[in-house]
Amino acid sequence: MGSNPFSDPDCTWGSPPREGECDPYRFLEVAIASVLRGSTEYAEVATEIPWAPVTKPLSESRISVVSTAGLSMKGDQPFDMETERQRPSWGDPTWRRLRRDVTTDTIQAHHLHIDTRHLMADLDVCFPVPLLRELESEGVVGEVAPGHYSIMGFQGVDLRRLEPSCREIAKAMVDEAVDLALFVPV
Amino acid sequence: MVLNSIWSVQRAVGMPRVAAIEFPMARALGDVGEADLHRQILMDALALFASAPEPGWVEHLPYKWPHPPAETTWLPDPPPPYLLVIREHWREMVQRQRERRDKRVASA
Repeated sequence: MGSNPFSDPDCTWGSPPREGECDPYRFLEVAIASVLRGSTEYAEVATEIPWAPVTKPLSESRISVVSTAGLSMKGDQPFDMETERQRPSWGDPTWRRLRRDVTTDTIQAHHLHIDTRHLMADLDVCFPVPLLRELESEGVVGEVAPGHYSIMGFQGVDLRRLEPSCREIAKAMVDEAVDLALFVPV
Repeated sequence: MVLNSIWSVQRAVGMPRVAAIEFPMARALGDVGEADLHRQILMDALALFASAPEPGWVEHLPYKWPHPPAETTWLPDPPPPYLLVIREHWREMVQRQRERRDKRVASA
């Protein structure tokens, strides 16, 4: 089931979910759900939605994945969790580039807000680059991009600090002629 | 295109295409080792690149997580520092509400 909530005057934005809609807060404890619900309901409604029409079939497209799981290649600088432990409303606003050949042996996850054991046992649960490589070998996807990207999903109260990283990631994708960007927040 | 459970943030963020899935945090494509499910969900999400008819579109994927929330853990141990702050504020707010309610009952 699909719809455009911006043009649906009866949309409840998941509070409560309507028939056929996902419950965005089902797995969140009440305190977290309350904060997220409040930050959504009291925020300004987005008025400008970016849109890039798809110009190629999937089988000819180059795809890149963006994760918020605090991922980095082993040997690269990990995300800063120590500062966050000292300042709980702060999150590391930097980003990391991940190679297309990542495996659970070559990647590391530093994130204080999720149990990273699932991801480190099987990347495809939320960072499906290994699965995309399979789809590439089958001809379903044109090409898995050379680079993929991670940020730290938790940014505390000031999301503006993340904007430079977002712009740099977008530029890196343009430089590598990425056609499709799949963003999988955790 | 975004694949995630908390599609409600769409109201404030305005993402071009959203594939919403009612799965726990950090397992948007399924649980460890569920290769067939990962593939189905990823294919559904990839299809949305071409099928979403307009900016802001949200497609609700029909998958159901097999376990209830009480049996589904996704938070780390220890919990995140900011969550401890939120929990404390939440407890204080609930306590104040209880006190106001008790006062109203007592004065009625």
